[in-house]
Amino acid sequence: MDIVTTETILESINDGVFTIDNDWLITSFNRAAEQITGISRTDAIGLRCSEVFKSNMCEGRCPLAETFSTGKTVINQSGYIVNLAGKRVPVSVSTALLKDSQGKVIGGAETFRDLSELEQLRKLRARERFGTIVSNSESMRKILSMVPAVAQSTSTVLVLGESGTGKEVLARAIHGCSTQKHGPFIAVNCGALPDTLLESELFGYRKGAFTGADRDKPGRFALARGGTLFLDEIGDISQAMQVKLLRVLQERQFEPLGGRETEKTDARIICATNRNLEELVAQGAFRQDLYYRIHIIAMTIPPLRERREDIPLLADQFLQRFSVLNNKNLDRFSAEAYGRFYAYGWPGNIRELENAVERAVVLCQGDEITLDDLPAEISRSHTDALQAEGQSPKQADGTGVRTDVHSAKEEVERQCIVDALMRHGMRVSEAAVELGMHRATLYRKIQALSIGLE
Amino acid sequence: MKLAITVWNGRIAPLFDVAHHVLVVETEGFGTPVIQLTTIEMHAELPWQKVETLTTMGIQAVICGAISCEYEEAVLQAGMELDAFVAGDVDDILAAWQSGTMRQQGYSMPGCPCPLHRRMRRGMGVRHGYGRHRLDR
Repeated sequence: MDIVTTETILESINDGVFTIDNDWLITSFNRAAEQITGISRTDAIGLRCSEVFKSNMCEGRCPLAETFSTGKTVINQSGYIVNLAGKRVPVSVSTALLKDSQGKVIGGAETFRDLSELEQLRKLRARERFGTIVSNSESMRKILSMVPAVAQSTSTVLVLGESGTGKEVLARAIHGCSTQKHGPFIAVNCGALPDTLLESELFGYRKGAFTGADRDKPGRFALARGGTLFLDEIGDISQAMQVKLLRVLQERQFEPLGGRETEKTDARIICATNRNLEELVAQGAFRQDLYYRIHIIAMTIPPLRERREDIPLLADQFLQRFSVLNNKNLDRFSAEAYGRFYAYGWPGNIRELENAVERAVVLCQGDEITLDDLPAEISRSHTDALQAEGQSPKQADGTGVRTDVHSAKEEVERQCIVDALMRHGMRVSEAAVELGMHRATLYRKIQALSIGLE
Repeated sequence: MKLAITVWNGRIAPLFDVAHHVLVVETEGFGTPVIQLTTIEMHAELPWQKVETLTTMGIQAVICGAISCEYEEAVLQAGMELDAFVAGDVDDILAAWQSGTMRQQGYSMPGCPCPLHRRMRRGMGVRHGYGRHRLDR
């Protein structure tokens, strides 16, 4: 192929391409490279590639340097460049050596692809799933399908679920879809504050209300006007506070401490707790009238162990986020790490998974997250975890310890199928629809996993 | 004042966000002699962590290559003066600093339309590149 033809091809493609000589100086720079970097070829040619490309890969893990030292091409190494506006542009990079007719290395070529559009698509997709909530599980899908309708009403919502399941995330999603989404989202952890402090925090105070009150301070009810007030750990407040809260919820009015005038609030109230409120009511620890006042629309978020199909989705999401935050280029977990994720009981739910992934990203020295990067409680034999949650681990080899990915996958598959069958009264056809597989496939799996249909 | 310069292979490091080494020098200001103090290692960290490393050393100004918005914001929030999108040999830049001749020399990264990029924040603010807009110094 002659030089003119090569140049024509390079000019017509959408991937950026530049070549360098053995001194790292740019010798050619195509049209797409100009567009992606924002630098004209007249400016770029003759300069050091690192000062034109300005990538997070240049200093530590330059793909061209690797190609020069190993003689092998690098394919689709991902990273980012920083453009002149200071914006990070995600790119994937491939490299190759340039040789003359005698086979002598005369430089290198780097092609790079702008991944911004893909990144935007990914973000748009996530937004359709209500902000940061992502889920593949049927139980979560039911909850998420309620969000638009719930968001449009002004009724008080009660979000229930174990600690770390994402109650505040759901509350934010409801706020984000509501007509008051442009108003503030104010969150208060009621369990973290003593009564007197909680009262001044919620209702605010007037100057001179108590020693040290040298100016008026608006409370959270006032701050949340036109928006949403999220009252977390509502099950932990005292009886006295419950009475005061009941009045505000009923009449939408309150008096700041030391104030004479009644103030109104139009804030949407979302309450959340990890306690069993019905039990607390039965014990007399939670007022029945307040319970019925907040129990208008209840949404229960299932714990992570009951929706294991969400684990890879959530783990990948956290991996992407923490990789960017920590300037690392990690995009996958090893099969063994995934196996442990599936098998672990996750008593701390999504928050625990998030923390585990963050820890792994910080500690990881390689290209993928391995068992060594996981916390000890997750990376050790997962049989303990299954036993802790009351499941009986079935061993293929009868040794009492299952550590292979295959058996972990089988266990999760079995659990998903049993759950789906239970939900549909053991009707295979309906369970197959929910699981997204053909009826015959589900029958085959039921047989292979020895699941009883009685 | 203490001035920090991100360095890599004897030149200004191409990207502040992932720069591993910082040369710290003492100077009275632009156009005055510099005394090289030390080179510190700075591993890839979060913006605030990176800035904390600099502030605990008493750094008041930073010269670096490209920098992303997040890191730029963190540096400026910490009250440091920032000269970003600078390229060149560290020795040349130090010599130009001492002689006060930066304005005659172009040390900007390619394509940087410096006067348009100039932003003033927290006093001195950030300037992209070195050459053209140092006239006011």
